[in-house]
Amino acid sequence: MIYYIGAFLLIAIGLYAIIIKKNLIKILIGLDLIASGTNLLIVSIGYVKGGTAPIFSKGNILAKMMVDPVPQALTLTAIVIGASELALAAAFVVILYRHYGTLDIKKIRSLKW
Amino acid sequence: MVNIANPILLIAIPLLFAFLIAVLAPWLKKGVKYIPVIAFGLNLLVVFELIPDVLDNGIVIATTAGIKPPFAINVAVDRLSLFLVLIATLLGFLVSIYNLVYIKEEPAEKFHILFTLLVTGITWMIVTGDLFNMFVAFEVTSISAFGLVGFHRDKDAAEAGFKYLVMGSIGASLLLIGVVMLYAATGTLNMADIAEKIMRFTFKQKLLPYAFIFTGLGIEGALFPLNAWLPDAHPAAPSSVSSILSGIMTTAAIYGIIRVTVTIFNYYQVILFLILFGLLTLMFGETAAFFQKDIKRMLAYSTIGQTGLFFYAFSLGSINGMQGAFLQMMNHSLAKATLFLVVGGIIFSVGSRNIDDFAGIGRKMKLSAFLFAIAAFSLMGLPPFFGFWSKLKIIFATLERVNVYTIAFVVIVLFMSLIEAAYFFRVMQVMFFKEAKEEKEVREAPAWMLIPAITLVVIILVLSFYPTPVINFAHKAAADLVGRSVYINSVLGGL
Repeated sequence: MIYYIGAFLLIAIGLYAIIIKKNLIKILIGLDLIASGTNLLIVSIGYVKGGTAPIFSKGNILAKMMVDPVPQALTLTAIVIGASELALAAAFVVILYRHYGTLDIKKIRSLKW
Repeated sequence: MVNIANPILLIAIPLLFAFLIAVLAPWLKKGVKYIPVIAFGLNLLVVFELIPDVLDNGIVIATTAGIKPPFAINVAVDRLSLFLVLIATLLGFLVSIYNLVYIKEEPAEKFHILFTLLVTGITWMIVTGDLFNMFVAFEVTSISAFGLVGFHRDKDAAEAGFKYLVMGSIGASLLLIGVVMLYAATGTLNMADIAEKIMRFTFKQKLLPYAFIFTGLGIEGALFPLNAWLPDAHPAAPSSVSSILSGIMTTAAIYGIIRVTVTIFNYYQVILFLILFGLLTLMFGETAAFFQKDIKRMLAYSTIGQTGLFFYAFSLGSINGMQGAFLQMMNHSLAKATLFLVVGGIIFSVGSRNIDDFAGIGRKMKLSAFLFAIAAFSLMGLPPFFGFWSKLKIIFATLERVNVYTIAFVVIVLFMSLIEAAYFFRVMQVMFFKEAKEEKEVREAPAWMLIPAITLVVIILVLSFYPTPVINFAHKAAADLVGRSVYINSVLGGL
């Protein structure tokens, strides 16, 4: 349960940062928080308390003591996608900084939503 | 003889070629620009091979790894997907021809990689039968779109790109949360399998995942409160990219919503809500377009309006309504892509995006102006062009049940069509009847930029005078979609 609360809290903090903060880097951090929150949510869906990885190993492990492997695969994909998105965002921030010499979105003309 | 009627090839071929561009760029130098043309030419062949199969069986399914669905990732092309894939591939092919001369700015090879990935992502999103794959395709599409919007790297492009990126990635996260919720509830990611398992869920249980997926896809599909990025992003992008973004990308996102709403959730309780969204989007887009001075911004707002129109038609929920929506999607894709391509050529020659600077174009760039006029007529639904049939269909579908609301809807749709006609006629008036203030040397756009637009206009004209096959096909597609059982049973049938 605590994982779900944590995940949604992370997403909420990320959204807050994107909407309220005026600094481009802080918006970037907000994007990352949303992605991390989502990843945490995915992993916690497949989590079994005290469970192990679903691979053949010594000893007989019951199937219900194994964590669900699908969400972990999904998370890996989502992490890669999130990383590339963030890299692109950072590239945009660099270009914007070169044009304006500031990271404040109030001084950048049309960056309002 | 290898059977090439396999929908997986639709994804595999352009993906392979996209990365070949990166590998071959140091040797081929300028020659890489021909690679997207080859890739989408091959894709077009595959789609043509698929057409008879889909017409016979209603659906073509391909699985990966030799395991049957729902355990393997599958690709399913039914009539609706085929309809959109055909448009997407055709546009991809024609626009990559346009790019041969249009893209002069360096780094050209990066542009071609991103462009190929963009169209691949759209195709992938349309043909996939797996929700998580839809998310991945969505991300492939949007990340390449972010890059392409910011391609010019000037102030406008960087701002528009960043804004689009922030909104787009929030949308993607929301979509992912929705998909994962469905996975937690049903234990599967296969669309058909989810559709079968979700039947025993109540309205309230379905609401939360649906809301997340709807919002996520709605940001990409530019539904009313979520579309702040679009009017900045489309004008900032190179014209050839705008024509793909406007023509097929929003349509693909709306396709995602349609697939999720009808096939997976079978969700007719939210229809009133969807109608409201459609009409609001329509009104916002068309009125905002009316006040624009920048031609590409005007076209971008007009895209929002058109999206609202076909989303509204879809959310009527009847077979006729959906048929109208599919026809309107096709009309919009073909006409709006043509408009952006032609306008790109005009801007190329005139060097300005302001409508007032287009005075006298009708005499100096006769062919471009003529193509613009035909596409605009079709878009606004002037008889006898194709847009007329689709709008007529939408109005008839609305009036299936006559009451105060449906009459109000029809009035809104007609009034918005009027506004649409008004701003397109204003542009044409400037182009054909106004004298240019100073004599400037304006030449016709290069032939390779005109050929794609001419092809699209020829297709529009053929459809205008022989609309019956397409109308019948759209009807069957809508019937299959509403029937649901064709899709679900065919995918799970192998079990």
